[in-house]
Formats: sequence, C-alpha cells, structure tokens
Amino acid sequence: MVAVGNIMHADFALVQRAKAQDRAAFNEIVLRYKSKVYNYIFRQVGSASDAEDLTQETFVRAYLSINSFQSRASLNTWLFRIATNLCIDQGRKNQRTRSFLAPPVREDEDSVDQDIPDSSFDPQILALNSELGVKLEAALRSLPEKLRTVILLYDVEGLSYDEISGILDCPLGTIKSRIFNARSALREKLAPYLQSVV
Amino acid sequence: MINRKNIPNDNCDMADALLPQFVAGELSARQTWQLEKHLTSCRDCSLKVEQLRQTIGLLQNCTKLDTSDDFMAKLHARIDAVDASAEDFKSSEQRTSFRDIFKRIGSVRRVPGLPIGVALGVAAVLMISLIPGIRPSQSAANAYQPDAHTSTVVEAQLAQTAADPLGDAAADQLVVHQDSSTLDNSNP
Repeated sequence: MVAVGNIMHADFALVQRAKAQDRAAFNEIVLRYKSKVYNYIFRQVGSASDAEDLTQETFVRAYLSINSFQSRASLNTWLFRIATNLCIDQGRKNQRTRSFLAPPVREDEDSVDQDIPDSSFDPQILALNSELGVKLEAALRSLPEKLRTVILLYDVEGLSYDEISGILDCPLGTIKSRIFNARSALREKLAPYLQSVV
Repeated sequence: MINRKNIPNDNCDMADALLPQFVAGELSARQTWQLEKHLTSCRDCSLKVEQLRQTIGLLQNCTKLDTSDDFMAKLHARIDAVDASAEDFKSSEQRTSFRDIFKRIGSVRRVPGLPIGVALGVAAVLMISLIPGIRPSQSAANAYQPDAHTSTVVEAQLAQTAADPLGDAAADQLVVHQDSSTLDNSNP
C-alpha cells in the first residue's frame, strides 16, 4: 500500500509539472507507463505495429488533455481509459473493414465458444517463446471484446474492480460477472493444454 | 480420463457455475463450505478448479513485451507535429476576422444579380454627385435643419417689408396689367 501511495504521489507531482508545460515530466510519465499500455493494447488488437501506433496515440491524447486530468483518478487508470477507448474504436474500424470481406461475426458476451485462431505468425507472439503462452495469447484474442478487456485489466494489468468499473463506466457486478465468464471461457479453451501440465 | 460414474456427488452443474467465484474468494462461508465438500469427492470439478487457478496464474505472469527502440523518437515527432499544428491553429484564429470578411464576400457573390445592382447603385450615386448645382452635403444640411431654412425665409420677408412697407410684388404686377389693359381699352 505504501508503494502504491508513493507511486501515486510521484505521478501527481509529474502530472502537475506536465500541466505546467514541462516536457521532461511528460517524458517521465511516458517512460513509466508505455510498456503497460503497449502490452494491454497489443493483447487487445493482436498486431505489434497497430499496438505501437495506438500506444503512441494514447500518449498524444494524454499530452493534449493533461490539463483536464483530475487527480481523483490514478494516472494508470486514466491512461488505460484512453487506451481502451482507442482499442474499441480500432475494433469497430476493423469490423467495418471485415464486413466488406466476410459475413459479420457475432460479438457478444455469450459467444465464447469460438475456435482459437492461429496467431503464431506474429513475430511478437513468437517472441513469447512458449507454446502455452502462444495458446494463451490466441485464446485471449478469440474472446469477445468485452470479456477480453476486463480480463486483461484485472488479471494481466492488476487493476481493481473499482478501477475497471470506472474505466468502462460499468457497474461493479457486471465487471465481476464478466471476469468470471472470461476466466471460465479461457479455462475451457486452454484445458487440452493445461491437462498435460497438471 | 475422468470417469463421471466415479463421482459420488451429482452437483457438478451447480458447482461449475460457482467455481470462478470460489477461486476469486467471492463466495459466502456457507457456499464455500458446500463447494469444498463437493470438491473433495469430485475429481472433475477439482480439476476445473486447478485449471482455473493455472489460467489465472498464466494471465498474471504474461510475458511483458516492450515497445520498439524508436518509440520515444516517434512519439516526440508526433507531439511536435501536434504542437506545430496547435500554433498554426492559434495564428489562424487571429486571422479569422479577415477570413470571415472574405468568406462573406464569397457568400455575397453567390447571390445572382447582386453585384450588378451594387454597381448600378454606385454609378447612380457618382452621377448625382457630378451634376453641377447639386451638393449632397448642402441639401443634406438643409434637410436636417428645417428650422434654419424657415428662419432664413422669414428674415428675408421681414427685411423686404421693412424696406417697403406697402410693397407687394404681385400687386404691383397686377397694377401694371390693369394699367396696360386700361390703356388698351382707352384706345379706340
């Protein structure tokens, strides 16, 4: 708790300096959070180049709207909120592009029984250097966007229910329910690979 | 493989629905106790719990990827571009008044026949101002000072009356006409 408090205090000081047009302070913010934001976005969009582009866009938007940032929320949460909105926009764009080429795919919370796509061609996925890791990444990509978002924020990025509820503007109960559904869905997808490990 | 026939307790469907909450520690004490009791006798559900825990462990220990080496350089370039465009926007805001004027002129130009009307109006004003004897400024002054004009006329009449108290130009003319007619009548 003390460490978290220290981080928030340091973030607050950086934000205050960044609001006063201190580019060095903003650079420090970027250096602190770029990996977290990039990992989150990469697992949302599944492409290294798109993830890098959207991560940059996240920080450009943060730079432009740093003055509107209220210190009530944590910087971490605020950046993930920007990143989530960008990922949702990107998903819609991709869906529109796909709809010209293929019939629409149903994307709701219940439709979790899709096959795991083969993502092994992606160099970043290959860099994970673990068969189980590759299967996990592919399973995450196959989840509906709403389930993927909560599971990434909660289990991968370690945000709390409250923080996720604030990011997504969803009730706490909905967030919990989505997390449980996402975990169950992932367990089912990974079961054939997990059994050999158990 | 797990043989379902070996499972003495047949509450697997109910247990399956509660497993994620159980793993997250979100069940009540009573539900936790009931589920744990079921798990001791059900290998299938126990395996699911183990798989769930493994899945969560995998998620929490996901490989951390990093951005490319030139990430910061590219970001700086983008932010510089944004700053530059913001500066352009500010300076363009200062030029807005001129731009608005040009826009208005542009929108006026779209009204058919209006330029011809404006040109004719300007030409008419110029022609009126060039006609000798007509001084728009003077006539305008008179138009706006009716009392001064009236007083000038009254003063002139008073001066004439003072000079010739019995004088009446119209009467004089009448007398002249009468005299001439008398003369004419006197002639045989």
